Amino acid sequence: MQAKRDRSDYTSSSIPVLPVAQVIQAVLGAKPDVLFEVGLDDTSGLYIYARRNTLVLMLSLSQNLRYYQSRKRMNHRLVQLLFAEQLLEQCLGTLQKVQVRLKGTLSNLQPLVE
Amino acid sequence: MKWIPICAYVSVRLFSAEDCASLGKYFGLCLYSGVLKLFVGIKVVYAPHAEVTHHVISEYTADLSCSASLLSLCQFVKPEWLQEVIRLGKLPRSNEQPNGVSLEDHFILPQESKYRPAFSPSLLPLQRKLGVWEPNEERVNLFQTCRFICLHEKVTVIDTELREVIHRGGGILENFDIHSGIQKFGRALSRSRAKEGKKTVVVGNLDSMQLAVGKESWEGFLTQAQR
Repeated sequence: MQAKRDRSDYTSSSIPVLPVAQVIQAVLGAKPDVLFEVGLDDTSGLYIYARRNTLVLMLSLSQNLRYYQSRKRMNHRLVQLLFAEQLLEQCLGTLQKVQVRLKGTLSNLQPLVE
Repeated sequence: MKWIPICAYVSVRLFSAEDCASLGKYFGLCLYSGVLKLFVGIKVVYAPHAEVTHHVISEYTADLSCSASLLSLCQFVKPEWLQEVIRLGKLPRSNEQPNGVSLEDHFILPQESKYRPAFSPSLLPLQRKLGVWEPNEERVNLFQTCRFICLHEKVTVIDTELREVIHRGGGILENFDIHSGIQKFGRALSRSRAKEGKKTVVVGNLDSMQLAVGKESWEGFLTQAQR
């Protein structure tokens, strides 16, 4: 899994509000690109990421559904069940990614809290 | 003859009032070395400055103050380094005692590598490497392609330090008072996005901003930025 995504992965012009710690991180790592990655603790970015992934998934599954229906190879009810199953599976995958990101956020923030 | 500027940034908290007064005497001190024909200027400052060559700290800490020094390619040294410089500077010329050679005779500064600060317990494992804290040319003008919008409520020490870091990194910044409203924020973003060759970066203390304007309003700001 890609740990961090470029800002363009979310929306073309979205600008996350970065915490000061991310500026420090960019300096320490000598990498200005850190400023253009959606921060691990940017929950808005995560939301957009999850929403966009779900939309892409829905589109892909709808195409599959239409394909199966057009070919009449499968029972309509079965197709619906497969659709639901795949949707849940993919959503779970997205949620797990979000969970990993949130865990990363917490571990990054822990020293600041201490 | 060569002029070697040495400017040490010392946090006042590291020294007692007597020590500070003692260090203060060396503000602008010039030593002359007849052998090496060197003029040595040692300046001690108590506020960050672009000309600082040595940042005196007890521990490496991932904060804005150290970030500013990293952007200026400063060396980090323990307070003992500066004390040693002053001690050597105070020695009489042609000193025959085994306690060192006067800087006036031989201008050899104490090695920075022998006076490295300790790692703060708050540092992440990746930041506990000496390489991270060494001067690195890649940090020169690190932010020159960035245009920062700094959100603030009241101007705090952190805000001032953040501005220093951005300026030191060659970035451009615009301050935005969070109480100016979402619409004005939207206009500031549009203005910033219109600047060619610069990428907009919005920075703020997220918790403070949310406390300042309330959760709903803060979410409005975030949505505005995401548009």
